[in-house]
Amino acid sequence: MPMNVKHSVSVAVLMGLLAWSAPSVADEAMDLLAKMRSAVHTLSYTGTLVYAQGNELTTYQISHTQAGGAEKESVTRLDQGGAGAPGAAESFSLAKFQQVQPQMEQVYSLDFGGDEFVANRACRIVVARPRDRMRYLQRYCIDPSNGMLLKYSLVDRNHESVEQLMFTALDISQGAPQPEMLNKASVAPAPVVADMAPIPEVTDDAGWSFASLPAGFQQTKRLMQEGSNGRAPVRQLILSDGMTSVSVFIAQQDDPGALESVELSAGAMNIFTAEVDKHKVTLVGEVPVATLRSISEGLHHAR
Amino acid sequence: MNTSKTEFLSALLDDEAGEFEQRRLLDELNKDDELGQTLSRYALIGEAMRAGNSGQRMGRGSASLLSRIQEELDDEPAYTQSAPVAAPRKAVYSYRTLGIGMAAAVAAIAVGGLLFMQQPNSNGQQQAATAVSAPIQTAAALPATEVDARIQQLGRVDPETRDILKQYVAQHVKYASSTAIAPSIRAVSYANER
Repeated sequence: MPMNVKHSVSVAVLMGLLAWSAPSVADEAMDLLAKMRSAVHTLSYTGTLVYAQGNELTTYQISHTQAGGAEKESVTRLDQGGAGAPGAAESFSLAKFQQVQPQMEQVYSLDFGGDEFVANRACRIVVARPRDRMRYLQRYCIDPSNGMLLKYSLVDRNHESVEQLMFTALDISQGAPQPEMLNKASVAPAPVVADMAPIPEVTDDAGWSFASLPAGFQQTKRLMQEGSNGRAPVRQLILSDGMTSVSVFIAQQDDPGALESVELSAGAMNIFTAEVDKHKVTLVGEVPVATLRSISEGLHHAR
Repeated sequence: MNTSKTEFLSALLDDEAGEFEQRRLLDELNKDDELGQTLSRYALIGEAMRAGNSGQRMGRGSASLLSRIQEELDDEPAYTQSAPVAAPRKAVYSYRTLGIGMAAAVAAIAVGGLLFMQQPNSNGQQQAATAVSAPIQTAAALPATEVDARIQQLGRVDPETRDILKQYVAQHVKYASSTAIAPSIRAVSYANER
């Protein structure tokens, strides 16, 4: 067989192997991510975790119960110092996660890492690696048997971790919470537990639209939020790239609740404000500030 | 787990550990399950004692957490944490996964060989690879470094602005966040910022 024919056959076999294996790995990683997104709602669990935001380490106790279709979650910070309010604890219902969106594959490459052992449980690493600089690398360690997330980190483009979360102890029950779980939760200050709130979704865009968006992002929801302390209602537009999301809050310029210009960073969460068509716009999301700025530049008001 | 690790944990919970030690602790926690259990236990005990003192932090601020625990145990009822630990188990993967892994390994070796064979003519391939990995929207056009450098710290924000921001963050977490567990932790962490 001539050399060039051999070469062609080798290349064809190679390309076939790559075409077969690469999508399969990505599909399996996506399946495991989808399983994780479901598990955090369907499992009842209680545990202690370490949360690192930049250089600050804190410990939390988290309890999530799923019984009779009702979902409750409480989060209590355990290492609250004396300066904090005693028993300070807040609870937030998790948003219903959307399914992994198809456009995600345009902007992330999904891959498996190695196996780890976290909180006395085996977990498998899934990495969502961004294809550009508009979002963070996301690294999950997921228990493949039940989909529970055991470890999570967000890494910026300088390869520095901006946020990490890791369980140090975890109990998972299949049904209602066990008595010992409740007893353990009662050792800490009693958290306020909130149920899922109805979503204040609206259909009218009120003339707001995006002329351009960073790759992969698309608008997924429009909400109208009640203003607190006499403030006017605020419009919330939600964008997502399938793995992370950005909220765009729009307030009247003359509203007393409108923010002054500010740029903030708290771990992975960044906040950026801008003035758009005589409105005060605040963007909140787990993406770099440059991405928030880019989104604000694409926003405009038609009326 | 040895004594120095527990002392290190104590220093960490007393907010006396430096940045390097904090990073080291994360690594250690990842390797040492017993250390993780100990951290969990210390945090729970510390919180229980604070709660037992009507929410006031214990007055002996200079004492380490371990010594404070020992002192308080004389006066306080014992809190127990019965943490049923699941038996360690190995992850079980399907033959399909193994097959895919093997195929990927073979492919990787083959690619390496192919690239080696075609090294003299690799310019075209390099260009192709660059095209594949090029960002869909060129981030270089954005002055990201300058923007990041101008980010303010939370402590510089006036109380009214912070109140509005907390409301925004809470609404973002409730209705927009798409990652598991982290949104709740972020929200509580942000709400506790002073």
